[in-house]
Amino acid sequence: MSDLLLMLSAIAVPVVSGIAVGLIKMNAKAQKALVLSACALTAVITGVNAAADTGASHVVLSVVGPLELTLCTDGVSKIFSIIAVVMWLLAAVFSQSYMRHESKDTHPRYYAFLLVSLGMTLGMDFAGDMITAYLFYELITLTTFPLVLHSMRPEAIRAAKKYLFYSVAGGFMALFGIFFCYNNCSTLAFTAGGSLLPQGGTGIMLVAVFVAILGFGAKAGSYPLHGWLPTAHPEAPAPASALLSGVIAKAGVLAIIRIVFYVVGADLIAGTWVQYAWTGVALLTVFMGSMMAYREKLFKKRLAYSTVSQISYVLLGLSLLNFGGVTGALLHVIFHAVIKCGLFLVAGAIICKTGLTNIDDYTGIGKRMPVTLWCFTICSLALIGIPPLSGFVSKWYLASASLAEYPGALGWICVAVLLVSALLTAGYLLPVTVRGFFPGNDYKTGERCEADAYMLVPLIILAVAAALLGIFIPDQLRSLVYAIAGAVAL
Amino acid sequence: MERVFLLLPVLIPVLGGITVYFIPKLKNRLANTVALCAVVLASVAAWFLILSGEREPFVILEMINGLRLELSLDGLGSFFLGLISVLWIIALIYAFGYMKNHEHLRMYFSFYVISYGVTCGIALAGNMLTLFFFYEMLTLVTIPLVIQPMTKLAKRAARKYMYFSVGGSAFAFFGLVCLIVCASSPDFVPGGAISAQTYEKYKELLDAVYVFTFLGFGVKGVVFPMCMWLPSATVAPTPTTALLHAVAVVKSGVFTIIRLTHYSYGAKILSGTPIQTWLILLVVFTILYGSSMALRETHFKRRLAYSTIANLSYILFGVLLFTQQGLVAGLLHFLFHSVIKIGAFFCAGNIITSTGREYTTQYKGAGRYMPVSFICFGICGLSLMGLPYFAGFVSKWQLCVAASAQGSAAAYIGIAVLLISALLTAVYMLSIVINAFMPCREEDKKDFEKMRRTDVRMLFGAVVPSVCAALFGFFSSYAVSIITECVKGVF
Repeated sequence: MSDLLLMLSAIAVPVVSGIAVGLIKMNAKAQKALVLSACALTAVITGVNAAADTGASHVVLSVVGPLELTLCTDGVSKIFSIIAVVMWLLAAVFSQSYMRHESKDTHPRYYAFLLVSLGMTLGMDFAGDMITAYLFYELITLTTFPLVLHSMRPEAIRAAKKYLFYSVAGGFMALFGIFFCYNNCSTLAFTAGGSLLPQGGTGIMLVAVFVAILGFGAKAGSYPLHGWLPTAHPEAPAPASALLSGVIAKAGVLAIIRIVFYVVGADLIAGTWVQYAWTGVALLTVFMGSMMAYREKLFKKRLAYSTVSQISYVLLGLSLLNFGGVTGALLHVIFHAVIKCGLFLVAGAIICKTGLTNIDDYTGIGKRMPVTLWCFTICSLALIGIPPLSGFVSKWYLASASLAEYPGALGWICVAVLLVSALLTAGYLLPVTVRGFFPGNDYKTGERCEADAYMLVPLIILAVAAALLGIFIPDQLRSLVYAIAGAVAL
Repeated sequence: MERVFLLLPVLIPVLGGITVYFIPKLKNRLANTVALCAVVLASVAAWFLILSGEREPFVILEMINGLRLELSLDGLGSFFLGLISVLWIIALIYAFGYMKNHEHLRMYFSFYVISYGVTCGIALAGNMLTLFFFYEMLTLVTIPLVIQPMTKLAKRAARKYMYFSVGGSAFAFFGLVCLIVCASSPDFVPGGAISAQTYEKYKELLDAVYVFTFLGFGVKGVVFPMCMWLPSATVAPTPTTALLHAVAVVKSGVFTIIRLTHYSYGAKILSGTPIQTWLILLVVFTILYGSSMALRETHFKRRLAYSTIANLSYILFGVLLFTQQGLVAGLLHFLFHSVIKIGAFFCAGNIITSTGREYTTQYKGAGRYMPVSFICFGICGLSLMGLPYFAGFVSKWQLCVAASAQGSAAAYIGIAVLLISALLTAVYMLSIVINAFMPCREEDKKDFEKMRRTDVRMLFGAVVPSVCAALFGFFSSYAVSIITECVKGVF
């Protein structure tokens, strides 16, 4: 019972404090104290919940028949919830400085939805069955929508509407899949390896699973519903973009993990056209995202395209369905969250301090904000996958797993796409570093404008984590990832 | 229990409505009190009948050859009666607020109350003849409610409504005659009153008659292509569109079709026939048509009317599956859609009255000036599109479950269309709310600032149904068990 209480309070604390921030008039100090303490408290509760090892499923509310609200903490929940609370805490700290350059009367709205969306994300992480997960999936969309909308400029409004439309459309595609799962599985509650009925493996079920993967892929920025991501993520304030790209987009990944590995089971789609098509879609998105990022000039938009590409690394790993693939995917979920949050926060620091958004203007930025750019460089190297930084570890798993899963040409195509994409990643991230630190002789150094402590502390933490997590990954985390992959992979 | 009590829910509103008509022009307060008393009394009588479990029919009039007008109350009738008896009170209170500055009040309220009695008659009808009688009466007594603004447009809409409705009844009249001849019992029988032998004997005739009657009653049940009158009829005052064109009149059409299908013909003889497939495809097309037209339409109330067309066909889709699950799911949507749509229309009425603007594109920024109505509308929208555990989600989920259990190709097409339609619903409902909370144009700002405050009674009308639209889903297991109890014996 105590774990149910922990899960409920982890969801309730940010929601209640978010509503309080939004509705009660308070001065800036009280607001800051409330936001930070709510995030910290949620982090502590989530940590305690992850440490308490029960894994029992609790029905909170039974609506009708199989429709019920269940919460449960299993390995996947632990990983995703820990990522969420850590990133939210860092983003909230960063916001304290970043939001100073935004108009004061937008603060309550921003912090309110920031906190409420944390509650919804944790709800998604703790969901114990597919319907509950779907509920929180939709609620995440609705509560993050105002974050994209934040500036209320016409472009932001258009972007936010696009986000809403794509997400809701994806949601209904997913619902189609969930619905067939309900008919062909013994239960919609999550069970490792799935609960497909013996007679459930029909052709229409395969179609339904594929439709669900594409539908949930909307949030993960996967082809063909990726169009909103590069438009919407950069429109939010930088700390919110960091969360959108680093954590919230992973809600799509989580939903796909849940439906494929915990409801229908990997057996159903192994070796069928669904697996090949899924791999194909993931490869296409990886390549396309990197390509678009390489061509993009606006810094935050470039990072958003990079997110499209990187999250499809995760989906590629999942589509392999084997131990290495799932391990690599889960590790990449963690590493990409850390790295992408770091990168977006760097973008936020630069935009906040200098007002520059276009990469061509970043010449000499390293002279003005050296610590920030060092953090950027470390995160970039980790994302490219330079050994022994974190990105290398996950990509190594992904590449070797694809060779193991597809012995023929397809395996080599996977590896080739991964390598080309890594090269493109280097191509779109490193020029910022190079030109930032080495502006050339004729460059006149601008004044120094290093970010302040509220920005630097989260940045440095993320950069250090991005560098070290690859080799010094905590044992509990590693065994957790192995346990999950061992339980669900083929 | 005296059988004659069955007359009360019909007679009280009719007499009350006539009294209202003759109250002198200046005594508005008295007229309102009489109207409210009549409606509340009739509702009390209705609930008294429902709870006391009256089952013996009451014969009003015996004509030749067993033709008779009779009232009785079975499960399905109780369901419909219970629903309208609650909604009519809320709607009347809303109407007092809405109509206070309008003209022709006596005529309007008198017919508003009378139509309650007639709708109760539909719910209480014990055989097809009685049902047909009240069905025709409903057309006649609701015409003044459409025509009330007395503009050219309103007159044209009322005429259109009348032509469609009377034309439809002419179709249905064949069915009536045929049923009287072929049915083994003149009364409604759960599970159908046509025996398998009779059906075999007159197969072609009975099939054709079913289709014609379905389409005839489909005028009020707004099946494509007989649904065209509904969007035009939105020129009527909002209390009419909200109560009659989202609940009473259109749901009477659906109710009549349920009576025809499950209490006269019987699902056993119809299921698996080509007419089932074709009619399912027709209602599925209607869903798609209604939702797409709603998306295209920018007139606020017409958009909601198109949405009603789509949602009524959700119910008919459930009914036409010819399974218990399907009928229960259909009736669940019957209940939930009534609550959601009446709420949405009331919010729309508030918004249109306060802003004086009728097109959805004109509300940019208005949300800040009338947050309650827009938020309530948003809740109704979320419920209608199917946010998990809200009312609309549960009923659509049940419809999908029933469709896939039935398992025909047409049912699978229905599932896909249901989801596409849900997406369209999300767009056409939520876009209004989102736009309302965007920053507003300078020239609009002045208009919005001098807006009238919304009448308290109108706010009440907006808030109560939308809260229900959010919460009913969580308690739908009760609704499902009650409805299952109501249709016991049909299968």
